[in-house]
Amino acid sequence: MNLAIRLALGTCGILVSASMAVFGAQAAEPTVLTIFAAGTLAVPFKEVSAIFEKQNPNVTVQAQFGGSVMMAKKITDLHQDADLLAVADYNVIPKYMFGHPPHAAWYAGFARNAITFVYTDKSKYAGEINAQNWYKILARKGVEIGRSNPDTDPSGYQTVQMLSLAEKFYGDAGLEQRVLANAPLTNMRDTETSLISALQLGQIDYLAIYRSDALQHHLKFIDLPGKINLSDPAQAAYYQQGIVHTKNGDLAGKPIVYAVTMVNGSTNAGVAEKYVALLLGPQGQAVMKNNGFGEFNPAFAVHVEAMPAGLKKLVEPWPAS
Amino acid sequence: MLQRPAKRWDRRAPSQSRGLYLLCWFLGTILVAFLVVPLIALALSQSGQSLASVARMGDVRDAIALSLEGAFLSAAIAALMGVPLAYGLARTTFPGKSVVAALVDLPLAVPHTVAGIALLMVLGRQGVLGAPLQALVGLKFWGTLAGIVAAMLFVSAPYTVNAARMGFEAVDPRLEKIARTLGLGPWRTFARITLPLARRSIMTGVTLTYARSISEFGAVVILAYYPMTAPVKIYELFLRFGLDQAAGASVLLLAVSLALFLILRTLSRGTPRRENR
Repeated sequence: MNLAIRLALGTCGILVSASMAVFGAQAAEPTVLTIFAAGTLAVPFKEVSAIFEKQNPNVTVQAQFGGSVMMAKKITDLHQDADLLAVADYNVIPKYMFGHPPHAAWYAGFARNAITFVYTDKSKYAGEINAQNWYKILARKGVEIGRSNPDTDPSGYQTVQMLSLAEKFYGDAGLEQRVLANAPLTNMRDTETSLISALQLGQIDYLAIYRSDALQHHLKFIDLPGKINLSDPAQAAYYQQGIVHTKNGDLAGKPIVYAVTMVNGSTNAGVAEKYVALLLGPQGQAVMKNNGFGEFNPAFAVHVEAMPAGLKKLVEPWPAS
Repeated sequence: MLQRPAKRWDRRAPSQSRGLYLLCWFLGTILVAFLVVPLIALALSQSGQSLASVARMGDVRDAIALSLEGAFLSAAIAALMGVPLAYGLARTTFPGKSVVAALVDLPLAVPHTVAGIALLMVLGRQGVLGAPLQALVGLKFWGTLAGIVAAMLFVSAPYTVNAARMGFEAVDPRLEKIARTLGLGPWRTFARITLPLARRSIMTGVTLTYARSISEFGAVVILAYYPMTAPVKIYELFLRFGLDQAAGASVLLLAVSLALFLILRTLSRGTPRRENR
């Protein structure tokens, strides 16, 4: 075989592979949709992603879960590539993602959650506690309460806001302080789910956590009143009375609303948009509900004008509170 | 009387092995660069000013001090209990010896979160050891220095045992026998002959245990988030303020660790107590 033929064959090979790369990419190479999401969303998002992958066989969803602020900072500070960001507190998106340069332009609330306390049969006074006497039991001597760090984690400050609201709701001065006295720094972690093992091993008796986690982990929980458990967007004005002092300043209570946004500069914007549509639509909402979250129908969005046209019709503007 | 093995060979290479040495240097330099360049990049990302401001933060200094304290205790316990174990493994044979040796290595293969949960299971408020220890002597492992040391020791003790065991195995048993025939008792033989000869290996192992203890995050954070060790503090700073402050604290921890390792290396290289030339 002489050199000319070899060269010709080689060139053909290069051309074929190049054209495959250009024209065949979408069919052959699966598109990877990267989602950064709050740890509490791990279970429902795996279910939504399974539905999505079935509907879009050429897409592989890769989701990473962690603290909401941590996930936002992975995008803003560590410059990791993600197509979607979903957080446990909608405030995280304007606070971290709307900066300079902006990493997102809008967000849509798609689920609600509530603060509760979980416990096991081994927990102290497990036989006595109920939705009426819980704040008295939790203040008893020797009860160990676990919670998340209010300086770094939404559920950490939401727990304290809930206690502050409970103090007003029950008209019981000092309630917050008495309960928190049983939740010292040693019982704290940067995210409350890492304390579930400690609860199950009896190191702590009660753990402040989201209702969705209580249901997903099949743990007993106290059904706190809607006036204080931060689950009801209609109570937004009342919730503002629950104030927590953190190292990052004072934070007033807000309803616990999960929000999703598409990350600017995403190379899979079309696929990401489809995923959001599934999440906001009836199928996605059914998954959220089955996992202990409150529905959000229709979804509220901030900066609707910046949303892709296909998503605008799924949302309503966020009501001013 | 005794000659250390290292002295038997001329340190300078014969000329014909130059190619070998060049290759070693070439490959070794790549590895050193791989290990050091990220750390240099981390250090250079910090201005002196930002380092100074992090160094002024009392909680960062407390966290680094707590890490050093915990790691020192962990290394001390590893030395106190690991060196005898290593000697036993090196000098005696017994049924199931290889099982014991494998068990010692096991913590290295356990994911650190799992190690932390296993420790909490045993040392927690309702654990088989934790409950009686708390009741009898008031020793708690939840959110305490004891818990931090326990987590550090669990993941780092194998380094001391393994290095010390290799050190003891390299000591020729005939030397010990000669010492015995010359009238030295078993305890003094161990203290004067075996231990000094295995000293460098032991020090290497203890240094590794110390280093591994300082860096441990996963197992420690299960037992103790507060009080915060340096790795936990760095993680918290990252969550609260972002990369800059976290990197600043990391560089500070690196600088302190580097200084300590240099001291430890110098100590372990130092002249043994009785060296005859």
